[in-house]
Amino acid sequence: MPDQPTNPPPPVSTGFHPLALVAACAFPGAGHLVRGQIARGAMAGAGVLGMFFGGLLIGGIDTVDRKESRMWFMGQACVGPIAFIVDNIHQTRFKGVPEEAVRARRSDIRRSPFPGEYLKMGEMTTIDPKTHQGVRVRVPLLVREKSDATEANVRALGKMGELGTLYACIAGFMNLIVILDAGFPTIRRPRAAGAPA
Amino acid sequence: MSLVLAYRPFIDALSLHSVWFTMLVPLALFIAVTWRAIRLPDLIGEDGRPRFPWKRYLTSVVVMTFQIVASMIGLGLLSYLLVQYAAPALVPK
Repeated sequence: MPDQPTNPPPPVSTGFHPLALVAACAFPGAGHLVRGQIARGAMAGAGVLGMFFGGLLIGGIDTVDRKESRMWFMGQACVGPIAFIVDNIHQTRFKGVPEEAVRARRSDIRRSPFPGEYLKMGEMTTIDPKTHQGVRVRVPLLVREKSDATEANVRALGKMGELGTLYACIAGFMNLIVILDAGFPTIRRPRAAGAPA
Repeated sequence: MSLVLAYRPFIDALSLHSVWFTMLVPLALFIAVTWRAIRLPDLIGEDGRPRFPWKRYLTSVVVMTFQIVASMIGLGLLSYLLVQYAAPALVPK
C-alpha cells in the first residue's frame, strides 16, 4: 500500500480564469498577479519585458515596424499593447513623408529617413478621403537640409537589426506561453518542501 | 566618435557588430527567466500554503541559461563541421 501524505497540499485552481487571461493579454505577467501568484507573474513579466526592451536597446526603434516588417510584428504583437504603442510612436514620430508623396498629396505614405535625410515638422496639402478636398496637415517631412531639422534615428542594419527584431519577436512568443499559463493553468501542482526535483 | 555621442538608447541601434554573438547570453537568460517562472511547481511552506521556490528558481535559471548557450555553441560547431568537412566530402570531384 503506498504511503499516504500526512498533510496533502491545498487544492490549486487550475481551471479557466477569464480575468487572468484578459490581464495577461493587457500586460506581461499581470495574469499571474490576478491569480495571486505575485512572484511568478513578476518574474515572467520581467523576462518578457526584458527581452522586448532589450531588443529595442540593441536594434533601436526600427525593431518594431508594423508596416515594413509585418511578419515579425505578428510575433512582437503578442507582447500586448506595449508593442502597438511602440509601433505607433515609430510610425508617427520617426518616419517622414518623402518629397514625392508631398507632391502626390499623400500624407499616409511615410518611410524611414535614408542616410543624409532629416525629419522636420512641416505643413503639406493632402486630399481628405471623405470630402475629396485639399486640407492642410502638419506632418514630419523628410528633408535634405539639416538646419533646425531633427536628427534621424540610426537604422539597425545587419546583425544588430536582426538580433533586435529576434529579441522582440521571441518576447512575443514567450508572452503567448505566459498568457496561456495564466488563463489556462497547466497541471503544475505544489510540491512538499524538500521533495526531490 | 560622433555616432557614439549621438547614440540615443531605445531609438538608435547599438554599434556592436563585431561582438554580436555575445547578445545570445542575455537572450538565453531572459528566456530562462520567463520559462522557469511559469514551469516550476510551487513549494508547500510550513504553514501549508504554496509559495514560490526562489532558491530552486534561481538555480534552474542559471542552469537553463548555460544549457541554451551550450546548445547554440554545439549547433554552431556542428554547422561548421558540416559545411567545412562533411559537405565538401560528399560533393563528387
